[in-house]
Amino acid sequence: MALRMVIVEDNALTRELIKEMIECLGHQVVAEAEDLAGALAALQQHKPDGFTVDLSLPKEDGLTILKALREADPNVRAIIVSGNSQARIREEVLKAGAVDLLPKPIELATLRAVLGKVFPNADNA
Amino acid sequence: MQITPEDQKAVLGLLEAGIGASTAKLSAISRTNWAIKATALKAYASAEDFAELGAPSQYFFGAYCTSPGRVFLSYFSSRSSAMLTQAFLANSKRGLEATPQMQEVAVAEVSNIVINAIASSIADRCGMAFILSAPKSVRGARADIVTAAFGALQPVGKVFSATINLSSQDIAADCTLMMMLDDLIVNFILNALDR
Repeated sequence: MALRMVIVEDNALTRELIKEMIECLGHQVVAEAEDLAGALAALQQHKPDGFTVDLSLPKEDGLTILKALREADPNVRAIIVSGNSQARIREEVLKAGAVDLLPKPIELATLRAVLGKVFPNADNA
Repeated sequence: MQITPEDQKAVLGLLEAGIGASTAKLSAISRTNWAIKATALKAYASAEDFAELGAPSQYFFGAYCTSPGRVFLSYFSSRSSAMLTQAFLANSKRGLEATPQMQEVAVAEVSNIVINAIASSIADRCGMAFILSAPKSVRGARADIVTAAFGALQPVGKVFSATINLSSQDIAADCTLMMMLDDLIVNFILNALDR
């Protein structure tokens, strides 16, 4: 099964690199967003299999976006992407419903492992 | 707040303990080794104090991230920025072009990663938890960059600034990391450290 993913990330270069990696693994990026409004619109319009959400964003932080997405649809599966590795933030993010955390800088092998864990039925190339 | 030599030593020790996480990230991005060149701690009362950073002819690229009472800044010489951008773009199979605008975007993301690494180490050691802002890009002379970061702080009391200079001999590149903390955060850190 190929996944349909949404990327929530403000840095254009990182967004492009994540998109490349997701596509390299045989999945599809159906939308890209930079903030909460964009993420909610993508959820409504595309009903994706999952999100990658950056933790530090200019408007709302990733934790706020995660909570809003989960409120709009409790089945949302979101992976938080960040260089922030603080133990208490990790706890908070997982408690808020994130399915996993992906550390920056993002590596293809790590993304493959995270997607394989979160979506066991997905075909990771 | 008066910071004693023992306090200074404790804050610098905290920074040095956390810098390993940042150098590891820099090494992963640039595929080369980085090491500490120098460390320093200073107290600042106003932005005018940064005039001492001088050398306005030198041009730097960097970014800072904020959280109440603290600012983390990292900046690179123009030459180092270009090299880091090339290394960062090497991850792209589609051959993204290293335009000047791309350099600013790449340095912002590298700074974001390096800053969060050291900030996370400090947070865990002091029992803190905070999400830093998205990186704000800065470029220009060193004094202008540092003044811009200082301006984002809105400190309570004095500002204590810890600086670490990193270098990579392999590629003759440099990076400066600065942590600016106000009185409240320094107090919190000193109380949290088991000295």
